[in-house]
Amino acid sequence: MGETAETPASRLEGEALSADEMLALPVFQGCSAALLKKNVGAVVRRSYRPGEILCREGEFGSTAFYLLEGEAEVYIATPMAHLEGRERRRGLFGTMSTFLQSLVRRGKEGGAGGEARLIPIDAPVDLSMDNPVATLRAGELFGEMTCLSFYPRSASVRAQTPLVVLEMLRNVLDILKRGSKTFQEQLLRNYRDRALASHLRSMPLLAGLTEEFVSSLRERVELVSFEPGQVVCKQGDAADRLYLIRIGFVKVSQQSPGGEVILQYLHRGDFFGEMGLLRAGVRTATCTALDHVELVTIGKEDFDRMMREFPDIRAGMEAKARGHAEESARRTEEARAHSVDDFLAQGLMEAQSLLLIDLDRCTRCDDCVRACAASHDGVTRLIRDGLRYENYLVPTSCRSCHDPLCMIGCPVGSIRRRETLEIVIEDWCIGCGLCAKNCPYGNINMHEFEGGAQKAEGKPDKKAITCDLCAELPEPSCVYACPHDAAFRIDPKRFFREGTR
Amino acid sequence: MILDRSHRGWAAATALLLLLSSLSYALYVRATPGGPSGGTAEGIAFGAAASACMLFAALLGVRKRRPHYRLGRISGWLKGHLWLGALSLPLVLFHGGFAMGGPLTRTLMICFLLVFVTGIFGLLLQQFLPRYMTKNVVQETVYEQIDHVREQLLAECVAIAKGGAGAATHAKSAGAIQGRVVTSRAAGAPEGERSEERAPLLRFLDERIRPYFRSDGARREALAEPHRRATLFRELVRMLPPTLHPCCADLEALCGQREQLEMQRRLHLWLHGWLLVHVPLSWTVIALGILHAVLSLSY
Amino acid sequence: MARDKKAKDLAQRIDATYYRRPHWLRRTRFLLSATGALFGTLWVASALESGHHRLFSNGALGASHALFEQECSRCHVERFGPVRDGACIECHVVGAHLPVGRPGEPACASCHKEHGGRGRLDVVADGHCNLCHEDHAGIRDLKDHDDFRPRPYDQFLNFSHVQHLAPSLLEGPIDCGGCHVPEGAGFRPIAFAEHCARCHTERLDADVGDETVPHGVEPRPLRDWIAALYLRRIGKDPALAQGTPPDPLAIPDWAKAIDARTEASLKALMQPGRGCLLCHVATEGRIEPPRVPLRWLGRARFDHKTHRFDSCGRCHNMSLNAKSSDLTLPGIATCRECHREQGARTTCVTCHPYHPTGDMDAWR
Repeated sequence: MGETAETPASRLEGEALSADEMLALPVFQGCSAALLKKNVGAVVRRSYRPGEILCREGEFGSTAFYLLEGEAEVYIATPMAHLEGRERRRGLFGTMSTFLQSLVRRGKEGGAGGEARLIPIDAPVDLSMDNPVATLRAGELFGEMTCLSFYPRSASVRAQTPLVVLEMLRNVLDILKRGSKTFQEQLLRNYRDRALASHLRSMPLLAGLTEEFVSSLRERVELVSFEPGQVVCKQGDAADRLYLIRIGFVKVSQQSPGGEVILQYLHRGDFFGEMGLLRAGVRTATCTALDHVELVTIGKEDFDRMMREFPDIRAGMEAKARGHAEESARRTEEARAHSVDDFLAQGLMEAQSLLLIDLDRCTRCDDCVRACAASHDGVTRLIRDGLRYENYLVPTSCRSCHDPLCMIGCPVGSIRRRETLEIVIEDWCIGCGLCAKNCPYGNINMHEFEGGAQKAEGKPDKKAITCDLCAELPEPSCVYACPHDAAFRIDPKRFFREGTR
Repeated sequence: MILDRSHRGWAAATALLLLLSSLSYALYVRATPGGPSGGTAEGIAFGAAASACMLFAALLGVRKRRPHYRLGRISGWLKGHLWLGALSLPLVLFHGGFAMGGPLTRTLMICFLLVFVTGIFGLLLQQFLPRYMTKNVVQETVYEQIDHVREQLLAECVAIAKGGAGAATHAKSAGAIQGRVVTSRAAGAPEGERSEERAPLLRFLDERIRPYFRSDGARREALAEPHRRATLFRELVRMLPPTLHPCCADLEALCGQREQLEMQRRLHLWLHGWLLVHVPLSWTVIALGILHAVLSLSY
Repeated sequence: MARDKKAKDLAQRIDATYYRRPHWLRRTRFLLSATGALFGTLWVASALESGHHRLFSNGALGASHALFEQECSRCHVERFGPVRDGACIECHVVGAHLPVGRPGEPACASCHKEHGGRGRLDVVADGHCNLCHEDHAGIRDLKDHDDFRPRPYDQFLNFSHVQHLAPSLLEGPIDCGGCHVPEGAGFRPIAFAEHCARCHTERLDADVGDETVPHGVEPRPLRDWIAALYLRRIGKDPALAQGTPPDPLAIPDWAKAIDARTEASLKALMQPGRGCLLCHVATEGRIEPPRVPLRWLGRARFDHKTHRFDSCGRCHNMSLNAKSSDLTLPGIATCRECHREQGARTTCVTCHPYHPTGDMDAWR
């Protein structure tokens, strides 16, 4: 993400504040006047009447909003729904059809965590999936990640009472963060009060934490920030704290003989670092900040206390640690066994699972595309075009890359990997299109759908969809439905090693 | 479907069934003084067996309507379609005692033979046409989108001819099959170019390229023939300053892609055209067959 | 300048909802299928409606039934059942093969299979016969068939064809057809009046005059006829009464003379090799009526009408028939000249009809 050149007052609407006016506000206490003078115009004061919309989810922006007076409602307008490509048929036939479909379709609820999920957004508070509405009050900052890293707006904000906000560009936010102690404290306090408990308890592992324990943590957590590319903790270092992500994206990777192996990307609401605290106090992976990351840390003593007071949680974490250790051992073994060869150019070796179509057998009948659409509510995730390798076509179908670039930057954390290989885009996708842009192979596509409340400026609502490897079915539908046995999914390492399917 | 080792099971079973039915037919003919006929008990049995095979073959089309339902892999169903469908021919001949019968049964037999023959034809095509397409149509796309892609190619041609010096991009496939898929971005005319320099290019665009990129243009236009195309572009290059030569190369490549699309369209029609006879006639056979069975049994 | 293009650009050329709009190939296929099935059904339905039932016939009817090829219900009286004999005997009156009271007669349709083309329905294949007559199943050709065994009839007749066919006959040679007049499948029975009387006139003594003795009369009337003859002659020529003065009043002597002459004539008639016994056989003084069978083969039927050749001698070698008991029925070898493979029919029913016909004895 490149930085756009900031231009003064002509860019931002609203009342530009002079440096003195800025310093008059409590939030700017302690900031350097000289710097503020240079950035007149990079922050404006705006007023909104009740009902006016400050920003819409999915839009691109470059500013953050700091509420001075009043209350605003933050919400996600996009329906929490699957993308459907066809009308639900009514009547007896419709019921029968739905029943038959349910025999083969996966259930509406996603896998682990079918309970009320939290949607992490770029605000002090997260939204619950059942009712994605929350209130922002004076002294709270919204749109930090948009401002710092130019991610799309994660939610929509609407004034509930007469509202006065400061809209600022990145320079001003940096000044505030660096210069104003009260600002940082306010951010931390907001996080502690509004988000810490829900973040902690939204992890299934930590769901058993009691209210008193969480309260006891509140005063003892610290806030640390990182620049893009900075390493948070390195594999092999001594472990002394647990990290919770307040904003930003963190890459978790391991060094193995075959090179760096990316384990996952973490976003707001995730935590890391517990493995090191459990096992011999040594970090098992390297965590790097991908953009402007702010982490809330829980110290070792508190962590140990948690382990003591909640043996169930400890057991869960140990199990997870064991799973991770096995997984990384397996990956290391695999990476050691196979050399990286020149098909990296097409990115085929990046994949963990490739869908290939043998063009010598394929009659171009499109049954695979139809089957994919049929088992996914009428929206296909497979497009039968792409580059070739020998006589095999590599169509657009998720490759479950080792390095899932698509997962970086999702403003609402809806694209994620569950326990197994496949990428899933959850129902609360707001359709910003970032993942689609990130995927280098065009395997994620945006689809329009009806029924969105937000039909702003004639733009139809969209959601991102991707191939999920038909994980809930015994075999991918495209492979199952090919009449000529031309389509198959395979681990590319095995494919290139054996030279054939 | 390619006939390979995976068909062994089905082929063996069909051969065995054929042998058994031939034996029983021979015995039946010997034992029947009047000769075999469709109305005897054995004749009706053969007829029922043939109908069962034909009905299963027809159900393939129904199965394909819900390809994702777990009712057996479609490739398995297709193998059954091929082998049981093949078996239905001798069974139906045994049923009628190798006679054509009256008007209805004669029509039925003719339609059925057509279905059979077109099916064999289609199967033969599927043995080598896909491989031929893979080798010769490198820039293949989705058949239903050929028109759509062709329009995009034309738009690229226009953009190259009018605007950019051509930041042309090429796609390269890995492995043994190489291909050039050209797109471009209109990056704006370079400095110092005079508008009249572009005139031959624009004329070429309007007189040659646009007609060629029409949906019916692939057959009649001079650009359709590769040698002629090379010659025309060589002439064009001579009329243009060196800065525009890369444009010509890209335009030529785009014309090559358009030719490939036309080739793909034709080959696809070969690969799928026989179904226009095979499928409708097979439903006619099913309908008439049911009527024949009911009527003959009622008399 | 040329950078490697990613698959993304290729894929993004495609409109990702294209598969929802069926292509003309698929649409046409579907339409043609629906049309084909519909037309087929309509065709059959219209044939049913218009009574053009010949459409469903699985083969043309035999030539003799072609008349009502459109009237299926004449034979197919009940639906979903076989054709029953009741339909056949509406028109056909045929005898039963098995004696009345013995069960097991097969249905008409089991041997006479219709819908087999414009052929003959009465030519039934041997296989049908062999279903019961398994012991004859080996007879494929006349080669395998035993020779004829005509019953040894005693005809009570002295007749020599050799004599009668000799060219030195009084009236010239006799043509076969002169006596054997075709009638139906055979010939008219030989009758003296028609066929023999022309040459064979038995006369009495010259002195009685050339009177032809009537043929076929009982002894009593014959005696009376001869006596009356003599009476008439003696009346004309009393010297015939042998020296008796022609005294009209001496009638009793004439009676004696007539009786005597009648006796003498009768005796002359019954001389072996002469008179009546020239042709007839007498047992104890009585002429046995000749018993010439009309049919010589009990279990087969031979139709002379279909075997009219130029000359009877083609099959019947009459030079062997010097007396009645010499049978000149041709052996099966003669039949085999024509009735063989690639020749005339050799099926069982050609000679052994299943249904006994009028001129046959009923099967035992």
